Amino acid sequence: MALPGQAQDPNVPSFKLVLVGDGGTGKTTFVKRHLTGEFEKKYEPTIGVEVHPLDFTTNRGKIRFYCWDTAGQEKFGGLRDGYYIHGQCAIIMFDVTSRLTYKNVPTWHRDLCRVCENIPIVLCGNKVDVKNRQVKPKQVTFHRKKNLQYHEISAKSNYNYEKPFLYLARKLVGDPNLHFVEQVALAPPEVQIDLQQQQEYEKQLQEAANMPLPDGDDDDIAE
Amino acid sequence: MDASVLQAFSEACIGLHNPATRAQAEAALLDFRRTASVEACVAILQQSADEAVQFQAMLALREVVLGRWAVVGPQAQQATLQFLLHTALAQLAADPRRLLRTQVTATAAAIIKRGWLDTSPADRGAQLTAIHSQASRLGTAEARRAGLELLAAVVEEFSPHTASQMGLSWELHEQCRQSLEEGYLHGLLLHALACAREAAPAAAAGGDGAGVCVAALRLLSAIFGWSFSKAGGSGVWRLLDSGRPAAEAASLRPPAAWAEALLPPDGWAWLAQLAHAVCQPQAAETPLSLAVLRVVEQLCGLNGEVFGPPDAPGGRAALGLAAQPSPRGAHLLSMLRLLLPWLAPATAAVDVARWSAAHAPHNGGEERLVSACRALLAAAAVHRSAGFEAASSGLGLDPASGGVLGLLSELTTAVLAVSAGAAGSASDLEDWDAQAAELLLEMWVELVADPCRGPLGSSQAAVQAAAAVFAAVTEKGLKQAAAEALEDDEEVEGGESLQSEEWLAKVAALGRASASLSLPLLAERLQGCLAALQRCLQSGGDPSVPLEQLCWLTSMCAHVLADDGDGETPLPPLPILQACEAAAAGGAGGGDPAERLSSGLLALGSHCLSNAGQVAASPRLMEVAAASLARWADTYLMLEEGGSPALQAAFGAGSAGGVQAAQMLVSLVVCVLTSYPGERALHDVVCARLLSALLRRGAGRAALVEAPAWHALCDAVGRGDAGLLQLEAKVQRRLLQSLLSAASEGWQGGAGSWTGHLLESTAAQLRQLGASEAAARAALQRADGLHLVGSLLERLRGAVRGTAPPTQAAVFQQFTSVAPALAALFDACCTQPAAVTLILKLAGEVVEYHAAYLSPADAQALCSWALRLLQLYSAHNLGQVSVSASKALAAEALAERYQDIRALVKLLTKLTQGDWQQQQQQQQDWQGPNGSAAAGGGADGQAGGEGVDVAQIVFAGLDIVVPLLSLDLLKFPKLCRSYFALLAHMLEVYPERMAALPPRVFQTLLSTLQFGVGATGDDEVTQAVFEAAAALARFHVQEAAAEGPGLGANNAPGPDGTTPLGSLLLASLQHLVHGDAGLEAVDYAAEAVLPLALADPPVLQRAGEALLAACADGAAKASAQAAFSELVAQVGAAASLDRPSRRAFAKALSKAVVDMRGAVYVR
Repeated sequence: MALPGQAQDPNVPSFKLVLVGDGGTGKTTFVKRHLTGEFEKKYEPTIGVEVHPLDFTTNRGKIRFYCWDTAGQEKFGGLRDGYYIHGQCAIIMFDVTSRLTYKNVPTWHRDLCRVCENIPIVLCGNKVDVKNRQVKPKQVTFHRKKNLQYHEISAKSNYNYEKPFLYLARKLVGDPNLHFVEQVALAPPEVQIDLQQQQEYEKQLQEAANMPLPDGDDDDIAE
Repeated sequence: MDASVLQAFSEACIGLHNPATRAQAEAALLDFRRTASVEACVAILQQSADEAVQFQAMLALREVVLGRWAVVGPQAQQATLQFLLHTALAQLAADPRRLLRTQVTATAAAIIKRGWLDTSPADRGAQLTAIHSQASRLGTAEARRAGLELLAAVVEEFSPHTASQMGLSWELHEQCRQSLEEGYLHGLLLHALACAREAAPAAAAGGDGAGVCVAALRLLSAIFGWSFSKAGGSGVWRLLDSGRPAAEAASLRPPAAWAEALLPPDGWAWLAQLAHAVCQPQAAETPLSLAVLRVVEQLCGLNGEVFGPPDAPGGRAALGLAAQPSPRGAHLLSMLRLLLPWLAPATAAVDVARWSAAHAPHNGGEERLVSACRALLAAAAVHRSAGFEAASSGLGLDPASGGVLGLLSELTTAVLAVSAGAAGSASDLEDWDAQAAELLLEMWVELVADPCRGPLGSSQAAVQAAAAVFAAVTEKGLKQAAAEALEDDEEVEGGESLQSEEWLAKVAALGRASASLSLPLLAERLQGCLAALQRCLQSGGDPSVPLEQLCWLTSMCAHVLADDGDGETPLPPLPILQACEAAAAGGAGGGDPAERLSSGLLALGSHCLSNAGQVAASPRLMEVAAASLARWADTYLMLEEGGSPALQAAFGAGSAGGVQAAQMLVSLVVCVLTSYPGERALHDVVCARLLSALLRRGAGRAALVEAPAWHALCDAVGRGDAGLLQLEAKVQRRLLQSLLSAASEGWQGGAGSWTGHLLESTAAQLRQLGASEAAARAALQRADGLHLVGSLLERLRGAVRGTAPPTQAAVFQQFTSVAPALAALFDACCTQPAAVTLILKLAGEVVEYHAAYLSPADAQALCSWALRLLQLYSAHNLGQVSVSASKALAAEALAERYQDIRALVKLLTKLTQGDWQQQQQQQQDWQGPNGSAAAGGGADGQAGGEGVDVAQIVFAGLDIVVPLLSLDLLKFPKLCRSYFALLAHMLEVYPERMAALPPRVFQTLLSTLQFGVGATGDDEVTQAVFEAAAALARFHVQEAAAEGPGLGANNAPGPDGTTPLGSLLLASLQHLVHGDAGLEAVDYAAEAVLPLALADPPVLQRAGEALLAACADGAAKASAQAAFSELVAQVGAAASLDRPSRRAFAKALSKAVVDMRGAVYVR
């Protein structure tokens, strides 16, 4: 969708993707994984919304998601459902290590559906790499009640990273055989956006890139 | 309204979508929400024609009314509600754009709920009826639909799962829920049913243009989605039930009083007619068909007291009455009658779905099938196989052909066949067939096994049906494996195992339920696959396909046969044993099915062993085989009790077969370590899993010692075989750990000398490397120097971690012999952070695993050594990041610093946790009965050189760690947790020493505490931080009371006159009132806040005043003020920190925090 004022290549179909879910479920980390390939190990809550262009190359050409990464925490909420308008697809994220974040999924879904009727939605259970999982796969049933696509993901191990986007892309393009043909790469900077915004992006990218990935664990045994 | 306001608002709505203006637009909209009046919002709604502008105005209106509820006042609340109802029912009802209508509806529902508890019960009912009557008065179908939508929004709003955030306490939400459930929900159900039933005939004929029927069905769905407070009869049941996922899946547990409405005598005929009219095979998918399917799915999950008490068997017969189907059975029957037309015959149903998916994606045929599968799953969880079997006759299905279960088995097989055909295609991701297959598989698991009580005593028909499904899954798996073998795609993402583990467990449950048929099938297929591989190799063909199929099959066999031990002592699964018993009783020709399959797995092991390193035993096959055999051995090998007689005889303790298997498997371990260089994952599996499974039981250990391969392995480790040194360092650690664990209970022979032998060359090499500083430096300069050092250190770590009582002395002796060399190495490798971290980790582990056994002299030596490491660390200024380093280097340095500091904190923590048993005993003896100040006094007493002074070392460590910490580093959760836990401990036990820390260190420590108070939402951290703060402040207050110096200069007021403890108090209160910490956090905090307040009383007063000054005047503020005064009074009254004062204070703090939050949050 051509959002007003947004300079973009008219040949690249683009879609507004709304990313919601409780605070701390890993929405920003998930998005930044795409932008930088880095795993964000520390937690900084999102304030209001951050919009990131995420590009994917498919067998039918390039497509772009403008991913509206919204604040999950009430106190940093900004406009909350005010951001959802004109959303064309959505991801609802919860954290499989926290039952509460799953219990709140129905509210996120309801708010989303009130603004964006009949859009493809993917429910994502994040952090499946963590050992003491609190929401077992069999307990995840909400997607069945509401007919959503569900994926277990791990932003940390990159597990199933592309699956939510692939599902959304197929639904939006209307081609069940669409597939991604390239490894996900760094998103190119948006053309002609204002300098301040650009600098902000660069700063964020830099910060993310500078974050180390310490992995001092002696993996599974006796740690 | 000023036109400029509308103009500015409209611009902000547009600006939100432009990256350049987004921030500004956001700020403008937020500002409007904060400052606008109800009238301003309404004016924009009425004056603007732009949907996006009206939308934002609607959200603003919602926030204004709900957020400033008290300020807006009852009159404006009512007026707004009436305006919204009118807008929804009259103005927007016919508007095709739904966006605004749903927002209006939602806001009206939220306002109704917000005022619900202030309204009298009579008015509450009137409010709901008014919606319906207002809609009826308007007379149009659209208005009726809008009325139903409003009621559905009300139900959703009152349902806790979908309640909007209103800033109300949970209790108020709960009261609203209870009130609606008890007083109005049944009425709403009857209303929805009546509307749906009335609209259904027209809708079935395609005459529901206004959507009344859809809206009525959606209202029904919303009611069916309600979470009933008495689900399952009692609170206990509800609690238990929440652990049962399938019950949660689609369970609908209404009260008994709903039976009349939900179990109609005609068995939902109107719904069936509607369903069949709108869900014809060729009919397009519509909102109506989706709504119908949803209601059917929900009804299939109907359960609980609505069915009445379970029938006493033979009760009616005893009274001479004819048998009648129970309400439960009758309901299942009517639901199956509704579903079966979509499902039978199975092949036709699958064909329709396939056709629809391929040719008419919007037709929804496939969605219908998936939905029916969901409904079946929900019903399976309620009725189980017995219920389904009983329904067969009512449906006129022939029990000889398996009845309903036979039909479902056919359906599952047909669906699996489709998804097997599509295997490997790009679209296997969310395809209907994959979804349907998953649902049906789960349905089978529900049918044949109860997740709580294990296998159901299924009838032969159920077993046969399950076996047919299992066979189909096996077919599909093999087919898919064959397809994947030929794929070049390397789409490994590193997490597949997580998913496949779940999936395998599910299928395994099915295989176990039909063990008598499925185990022989697996054994036969395994044998067949192995033969196919051998044939293929003989003929010189490409073995990819049989190899891949073997991998799949092996893994499946292991999952069916055995559970993942995961720390428990694994036992053979019950259904398997039952099948074995049945086979023995029946004298079946095939023998014991589990034994036969086990032999098959072992035959595969022998095959791998004799073909090691060759194509016939590819690394992947070897890895799967080793993991599967480890799983099997963990459960069956050398079993001392349990298991069928046949299994005992074949592989049990003392059996020849068991010994043979153990010896073959240990040969396999050796062979993997020598013949598959570089296969780290494979090495990991054999060292960590297979080897430890073999060593699990005493009989297994005894059998191993006899094996030549075992001796070869121990010898190779003992003499430092060059090949073993090439293994990845972590693998070497696991190998040593597993080997050492062999010498536990039941071990024959000298554990000490054997341990010495194992570690001999490792220790010798380390001594040589660290003989002098020059030698250490020279060693590290060699190309493979670091790898060698890493390997040796990891081996030693493995040995330390594998320490058991019989080996402890020997391991510690070896460690002592290398300790000076390790210090030299530590000194020399200051430029090699990896080695530094390893040595620190080793130190932590030696303390952890050995402290409890050590004599005072040894403990002293160990602590001195640890202290020496810390001094060296400090002397080399390690961990300091040079500011002049480039950005990339600085980032790298930060990562290394994180690693080191975590290892350091861990070492310090282990030191404090170390069970220095004898040491403490000695201390107590030495101090006599009056040595009450055990920690502090003991430490001082030891300064003379006797015994260990753990505190001294930890302080030296903290002196190093604290200045290195930055707030950025504390954002890493693991470090944050362990650091604060350590700090809490040290402050609790040694406050006087903490107080005497140099000001620079003390200030950093306080700043980390301040960070900890406010920063994280981690309960563990919050607790530790408050414990630490409490200990510090308590010490200061108690010292001051005894006219001691307390924290002295360390608590000197800053430039603004606030002492450091005062700042901590301010931060704590801020966090409690403004943060979203739970009430437990307030309890932890109370322990800290009281002494902090006593330390600096004016600050508490100031903090409270500042917090209250920000609140709007009103009842909430008055109550907060009163609560705060009470809190201050409690501080005054608490002359000492005794328990009653602390308890009273905690109570007052809790009240003050709750009231202040109430006053501070206007929302």
